[in-house]
Amino acid sequence: MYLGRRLKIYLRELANIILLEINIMWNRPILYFNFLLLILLTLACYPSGPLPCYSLSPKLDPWDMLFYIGLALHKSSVGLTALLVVVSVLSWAGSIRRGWVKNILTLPVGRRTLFIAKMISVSLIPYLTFSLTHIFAQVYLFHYIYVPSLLLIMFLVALHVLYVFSISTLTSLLIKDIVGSLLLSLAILMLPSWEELPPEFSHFKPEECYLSTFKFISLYMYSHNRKRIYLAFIKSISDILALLIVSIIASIFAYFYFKKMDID
Amino acid sequence: MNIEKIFKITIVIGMALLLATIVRSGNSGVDAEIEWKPKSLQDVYREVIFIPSRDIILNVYVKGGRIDLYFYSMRDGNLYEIIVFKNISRIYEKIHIDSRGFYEIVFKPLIEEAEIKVSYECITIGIEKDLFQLGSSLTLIGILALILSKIYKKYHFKRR
Repeated sequence: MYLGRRLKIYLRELANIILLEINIMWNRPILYFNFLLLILLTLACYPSGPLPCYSLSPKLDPWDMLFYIGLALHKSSVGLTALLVVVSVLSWAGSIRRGWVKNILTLPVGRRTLFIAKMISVSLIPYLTFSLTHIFAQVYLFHYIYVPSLLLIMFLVALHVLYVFSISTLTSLLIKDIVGSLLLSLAILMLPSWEELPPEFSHFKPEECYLSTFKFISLYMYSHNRKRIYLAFIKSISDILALLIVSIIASIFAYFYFKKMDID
Repeated sequence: MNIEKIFKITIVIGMALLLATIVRSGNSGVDAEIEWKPKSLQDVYREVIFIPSRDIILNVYVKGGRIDLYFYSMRDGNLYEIIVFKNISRIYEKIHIDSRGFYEIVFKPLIEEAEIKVSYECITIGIEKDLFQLGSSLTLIGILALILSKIYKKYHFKRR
């Protein structure tokens, strides 16, 4: 009974801080830019020409569709990464600079609540915009409704958002400067794309997990070559695990650093 | 979040869809080359294509004979005839496509037992009408709602 009441009070406090953060962070220009960029980029990455059907039934080839979806997610995710880096750096480094974090901590709000509230308020709007636009593109543009693919999009985009948020949060908290954190976050996120690095680094590219996972799903469903399926599975799992492990480590480190850091 | 912000977001989403319509309006197409020897006049060749709601240019070239070409729309499990070209060996026609969906092209031979080679190309041109309509509707609804809410606010405050 007592625990339930405390949880209720905590959740109400968290919801209030999230709303406050959303109102401050997602001011009009950033919010409108988020919608324009993500909708435009996502729809531009799907094919707009005629698509052949390899059977005489009115049904798009699932193999082709999974390929198009994976490729569109891969291409359009660059916009999501850039937007998330900017928003999370502004949310952390920007509000520390402006003294907003210090002000809010003078209220009866714990650092844990503020950290969780910032995490949700920064990621929720781009996450919903990006994943819902991809779902809209499949359902509206291609009349293609395949529930596992829709669920997979929700999961992979969540992983991508968590990865970018954790890295940019960590750099923002360590540097506390907007331009420095922005450059360092982008450098860390773009580093795995550098061709000079060994191919193992490609696991840390967030956009890579879309391609590898959709490739594995299409091979699993439509190929009989067990070796190819196994290799695609290993690639997909290692991409997902690499992002997940880095996200968890960076988030935990950022959280404990934020708990102990001197805001002044 | 106030109601005006929701209307403004509706306008922005509508504009994003309109911009996406322009970005997606580049020409792209499918092509194929079919070779078959019809055993009878009923031995037709069929091809199913998914076409967005953009106009298409159908470019067909027949070698070794002449054919009839039927262009159908596939809706609710039925075929609806859109256009028919009779006794052709070469066409380059613009076809107006109203709705996004599946279409069937049927090549019907006119002579039995003769080897026919058909090359066809289907190129989409123009903008996607349904996406354009959705984008412009959202933008207009957002603008109208915003204007109405501003008028209401003004009237309401004047009365008070």
